[in-house]
Amino acid sequence: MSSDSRKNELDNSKSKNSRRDFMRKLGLIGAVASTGAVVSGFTSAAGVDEEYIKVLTADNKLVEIPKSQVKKVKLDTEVLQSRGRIGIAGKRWVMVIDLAKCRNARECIKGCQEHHHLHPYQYHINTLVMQDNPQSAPYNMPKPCMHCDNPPCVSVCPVNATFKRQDGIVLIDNERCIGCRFCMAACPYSVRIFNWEKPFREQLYQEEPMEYDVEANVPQRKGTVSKCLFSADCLRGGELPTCVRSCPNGVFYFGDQNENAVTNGTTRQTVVLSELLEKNAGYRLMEDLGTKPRVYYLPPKDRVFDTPEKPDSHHS
Amino acid sequence: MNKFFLTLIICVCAVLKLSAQTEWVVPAEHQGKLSPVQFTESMQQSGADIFAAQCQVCHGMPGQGNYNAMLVPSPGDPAAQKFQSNTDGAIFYKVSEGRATMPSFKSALSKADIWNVISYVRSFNASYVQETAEKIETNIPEGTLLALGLRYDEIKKMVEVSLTGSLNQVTNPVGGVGIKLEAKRYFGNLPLGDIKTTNKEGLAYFSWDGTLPGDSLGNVHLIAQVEQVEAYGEVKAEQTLPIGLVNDKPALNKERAMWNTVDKAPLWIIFGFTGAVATAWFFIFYLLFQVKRIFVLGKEPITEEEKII
Repeated sequence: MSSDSRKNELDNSKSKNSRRDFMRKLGLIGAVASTGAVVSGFTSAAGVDEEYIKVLTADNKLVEIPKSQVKKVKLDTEVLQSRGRIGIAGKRWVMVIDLAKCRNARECIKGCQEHHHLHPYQYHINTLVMQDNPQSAPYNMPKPCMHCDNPPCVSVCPVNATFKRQDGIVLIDNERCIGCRFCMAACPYSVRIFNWEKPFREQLYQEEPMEYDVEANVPQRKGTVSKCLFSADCLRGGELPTCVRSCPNGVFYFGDQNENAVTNGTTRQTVVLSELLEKNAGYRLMEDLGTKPRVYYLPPKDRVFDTPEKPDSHHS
Repeated sequence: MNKFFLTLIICVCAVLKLSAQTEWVVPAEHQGKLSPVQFTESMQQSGADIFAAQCQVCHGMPGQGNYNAMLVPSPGDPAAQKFQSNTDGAIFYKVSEGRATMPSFKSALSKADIWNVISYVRSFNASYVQETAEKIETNIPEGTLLALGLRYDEIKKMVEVSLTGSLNQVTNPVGGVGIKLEAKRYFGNLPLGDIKTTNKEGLAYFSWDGTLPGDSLGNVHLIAQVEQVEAYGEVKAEQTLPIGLVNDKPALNKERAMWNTVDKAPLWIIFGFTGAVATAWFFIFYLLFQVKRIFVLGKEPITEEEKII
């Protein structure tokens, strides 16, 4: 039973109910209910007047079970913690951000804040207006966590709260975090945020207590650090990260470097990663620091802003 | 007066130039494309769901004019006259191909999904009368059951896709049909090469250089499909073949590093730290031992000869 529940993680933290989530939940209910049926010696002939529902089991079989047998199962923190620490074997997640396409729709930010229960002023991903020099046109730049292969933030953590997994994702465990904010000081990309106040969804946590999921940083905790997680809980189910899916302009590509393929979140076109980076002169932020980021940028070819006629005194 | 005309001409030219820029030319062969089926209420409903998820951010709610006017070219209200004057084929082409800020949806949405969106958008046009496509003529007799086969040809170093049709228990190869080959990746399917047409023997060959990464055993999951779904229906073959590159990349947290967990810390840190702690404790115990020695010495009786004073 426990192995079934480990296989079918029920994601309580997500407020959005996608079809995949629905199917996963169904699978979970199915697994529980079918086990329940075996234990109670239930046969299909018994209880004629009972109401039946169709459920999908963990091994993809459609079965009918009486409604009374259905029981919802919650994953405990222990399971969520251990799977969160281990990560997904054989994967090396990589994100490509095409700056030429960003029109500052801010849908990535909205999706992210909803997923991770953030205050409107808190950003796991933010779009910045960049201007390289006074003579050049500005452009929009989404900036998530770089999930560095040589993460300075992880080196400085005194309590092993933040860690890097085998699939490359850098996560933070709010249950371990002591709020020293060393990691925030160490991060050269300033992507970490601190929960100064009560969580945004405090009321929801009180009404429906939920298990802490280290792969979503939900529920958020006051006095701890939070950061972009590449939507590690979505990746487990084969779903793209929330920001990648939310973008209406096709800015984000996400995929597995080991497969040498990335998929665009808007157009869902899968392309070869090495070709995409080579043809478009992909680069990484502050590469000279040696942090080896896992997020690549494609240069902003078509800029929405005009070139300033006079150098902007603010930026010069 | 001349000046007035000159200004007018310049203005007209400017307007024409602007309209020429925003004009989206749809190739003639796509203009006349029609839905293979009559639009139904359930199609509209599913189209509404897709519209809300994918289109509404920029186009707004149809009929309310709350589209994102900041975008260039303007997305426009789908219920407006300008939008509705497009033919079904033109809308289909624009949704699937995209341009500038309008993304291409040909991979994100299936052809049926795009027709559903069109049926939803058309529901805001009271004067719209739908025409459906006539049945597409194919080179195979009606009632033929198509089947695809997929294998790797060791000698030719190519992936061979075979298309056969069976009618009245007689199976024959089918030629002249476009086939596309894709490899399964974690978040979607990666197209491999261009669409190939089957030859007289019903075979299509895709070159294979063996550079496509597979799993830890080099297995690649390949999917072959008939391209013209409208004409031939959905014909698909899937096969896992051990012809990819073996993925032997180690886990990203395998190496010893400053940022890794205690057991994977660099050796110099483990030995340096342990050595420093051991040295400090050794010194403390050494001092204590010396103090004890002095204390023991103090207790020893001293003979008269040893007394100096």
